[in-house]
Amino acid sequence: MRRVTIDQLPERQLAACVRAFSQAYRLRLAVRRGFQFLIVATIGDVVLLASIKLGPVAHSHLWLAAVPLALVPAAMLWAMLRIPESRLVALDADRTLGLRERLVTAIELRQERATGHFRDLQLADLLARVERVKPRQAFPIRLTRQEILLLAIPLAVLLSLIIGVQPQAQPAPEARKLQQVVKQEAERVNAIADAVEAEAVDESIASAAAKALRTAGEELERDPRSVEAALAALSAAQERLLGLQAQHAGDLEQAMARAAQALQQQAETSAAGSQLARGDVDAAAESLRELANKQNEMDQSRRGDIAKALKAAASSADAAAPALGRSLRDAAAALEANAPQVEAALKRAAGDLRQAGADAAMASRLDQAVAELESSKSNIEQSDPQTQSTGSTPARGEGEGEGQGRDTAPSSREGSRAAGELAADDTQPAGQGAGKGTLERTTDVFAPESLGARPELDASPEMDHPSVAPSDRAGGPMQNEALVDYREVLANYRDSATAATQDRYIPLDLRNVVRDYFSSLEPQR
Amino acid sequence: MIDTEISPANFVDKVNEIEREVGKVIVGQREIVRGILTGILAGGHVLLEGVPGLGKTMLVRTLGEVLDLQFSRIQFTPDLMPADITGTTLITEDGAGSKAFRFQPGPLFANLILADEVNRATPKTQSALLESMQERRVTVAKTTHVLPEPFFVLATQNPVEMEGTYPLPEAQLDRFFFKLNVTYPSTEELVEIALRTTSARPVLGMRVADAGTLQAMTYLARELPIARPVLDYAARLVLNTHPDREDSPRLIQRFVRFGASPRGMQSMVIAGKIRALLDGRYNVAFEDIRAVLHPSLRHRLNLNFEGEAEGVTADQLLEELLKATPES
Repeated sequence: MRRVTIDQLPERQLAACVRAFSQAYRLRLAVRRGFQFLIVATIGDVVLLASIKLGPVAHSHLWLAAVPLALVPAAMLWAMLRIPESRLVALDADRTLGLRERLVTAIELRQERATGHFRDLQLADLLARVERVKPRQAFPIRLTRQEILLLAIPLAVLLSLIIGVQPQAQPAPEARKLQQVVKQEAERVNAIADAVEAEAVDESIASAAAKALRTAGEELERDPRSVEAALAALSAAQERLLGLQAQHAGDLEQAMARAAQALQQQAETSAAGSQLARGDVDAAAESLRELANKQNEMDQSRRGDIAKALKAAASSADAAAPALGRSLRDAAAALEANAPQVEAALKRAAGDLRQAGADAAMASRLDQAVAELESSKSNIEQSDPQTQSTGSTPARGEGEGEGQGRDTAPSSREGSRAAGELAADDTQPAGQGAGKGTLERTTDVFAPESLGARPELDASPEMDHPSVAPSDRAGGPMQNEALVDYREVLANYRDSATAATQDRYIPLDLRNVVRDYFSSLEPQR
Repeated sequence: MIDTEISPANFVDKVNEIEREVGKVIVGQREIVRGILTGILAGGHVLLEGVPGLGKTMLVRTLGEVLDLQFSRIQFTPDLMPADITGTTLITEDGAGSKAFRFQPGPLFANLILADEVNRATPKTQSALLESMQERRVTVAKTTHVLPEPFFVLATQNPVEMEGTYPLPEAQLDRFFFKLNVTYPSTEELVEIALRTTSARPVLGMRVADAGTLQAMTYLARELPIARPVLDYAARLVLNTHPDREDSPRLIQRFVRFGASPRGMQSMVIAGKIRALLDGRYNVAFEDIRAVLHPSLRHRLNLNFEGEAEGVTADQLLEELLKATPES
């Protein structure tokens, strides 16, 4: 500030004084406002950075950190440009310079145009004191300890966030996607539990299965971020379901299929056999009941034929469904002996047949649940970015079932298409696979020729693993964007196929083929 | 030399001169002397509270001598009647033998009145004094007699003997400009008192001012400018003595029945002006208001039962008030 010279008029001196002090006031105010906004901006940036580092906010929102910082110069500029009230400036100067309200009194006397001999005396007294004041030195820009602490603490936190806290291994969008997928699979598992309970005939097994599934669902919901925990929960549920399924081995379906074949050998029981082969157990049982009602009208020859068929069916069913086998054998014996309890025996056999069908349905339902859990595991694994980024080689399939066939390595597209064809082909006659012999379970990839598999789906001899794309042979990433990784679509096709096997009349033995096929396509872990 | 023309420049000199002369007779008690002088210059009256024997009578008498003012002392007793202080009408006979009523002025008709132990008199007698303090006139037998100017009353109360006394009501206390607490002298002061009062040569103060000078000083002090923020500060201080205000300190809300009247603010402003002038300044500052807060308001705060039971003093509450009331 220029020194106020003594030869200037006192009024001008006062005005010059006020101007100089006003500039100093605005500068100090600008610095203080800027500092206050800096504190707020720092706290805001701490919150934002913490949110980005720890998950909920995407990294792409980092630009938001600049917004509060931009307010700092804006606030300072506003404080510098805004002209403060002279009274405020005067009070501030009086306090800072120890003038004891001389300046504010002098300004008021001028504003009120007061008269009296104190007016000039008071001004002269003021000017004598401010004559040698240098505003820059007299009005130092100082920050209080509290203000410094208010900035230092969030600044320290901000630096620690920048330096110390490492960002999560997976970017936020992938993490969110994983959580989403896990939560969806949790809902799916809970829905499977509800379906198992609803379809159950054996309530004890159904409730145990539903409990295992719900436990897995809860585990998934509890920690949707952890792939390992999710896979472990699903695997535990699978083990439990397989344990329950052990009581109802997959052999039951085959036994039922063989029993159906046996019944079809005889004309009297062929209807029941066909119905049983189609999977319509209730209709087959009803046919047996009708036989029971009509047995009085039959001659001994027909009775003998029926007994023969029943015995053959009993032999087929003995191992997997002993009760059914016994009741069929009893009915056969009663027919041969023309005993009075033929009707009751046949009806009992019908009841046992229905029960066996229900048991088979439960086994199939548990099978389906296991397959769906496998599908969930696959979905979760596919959503895990670490699995995708490491480019793990697709695993050799390990199906729940076994199938016989050649070692094939279909391309992703072809494999998917085959699965899609299978799922979409509603015209495939039921039972096409029936009668071709017992299918043995195998862990190899195969495409059953009976289903019209194409030779080009066969793997080349030098390949050990199913190929994802030609480029994968060299171990590099896929370059051809037209190709789709089969792992991305496998679960969808598998689910569709599994649903189709349940909803449509597909022969029991062919259901295993479907299951084994997709199991063999699972990526190797 | 007595000067009836007082300028701001020599206002301080005159006061210092007066205090110096008083100081020749009265040992110590500088704040009391300054307070009494402030009261005189403000045209108000002062209430002193202190134990007997501290030189209150001597002080007022000395002031009377230094200021060339007529001094009168009234010892208040329980049997003192109003006519004893205001005066009464007597039947007198002139030389021709005719009789007429003549007003005989009481001791109230003086410039400086020392009303000693005013709380010992009955309320009727107290009101006669207090009314005259306010009105500056006395009415006896339907005739109004104006009291001389300047008219200053220094009333005293003895804090020790409270039994058989008639404490001044709050409305009457409010009429006093200042209330000053007289403290006991220090050892050195006592020694000096003994030396001065037990020697063969009495010490007298010289006359340095008169009524005209005092009036001029009073007028000059009232002219001193005071800025609006300082007035606002004084107003907020007075308002915050009331317990029903949100901004009042917690202690005042708890222990005060009712707070100061506008007379309290008048007292602070005028006393602040005099203080600023005595400090060599030509405007009132925040610190002037703070400095005169206690003598101006300590007798205007009315404590409730809880305050009296807790033994809270008005000065403690005023300290809290200062801390809780910002300047702006």
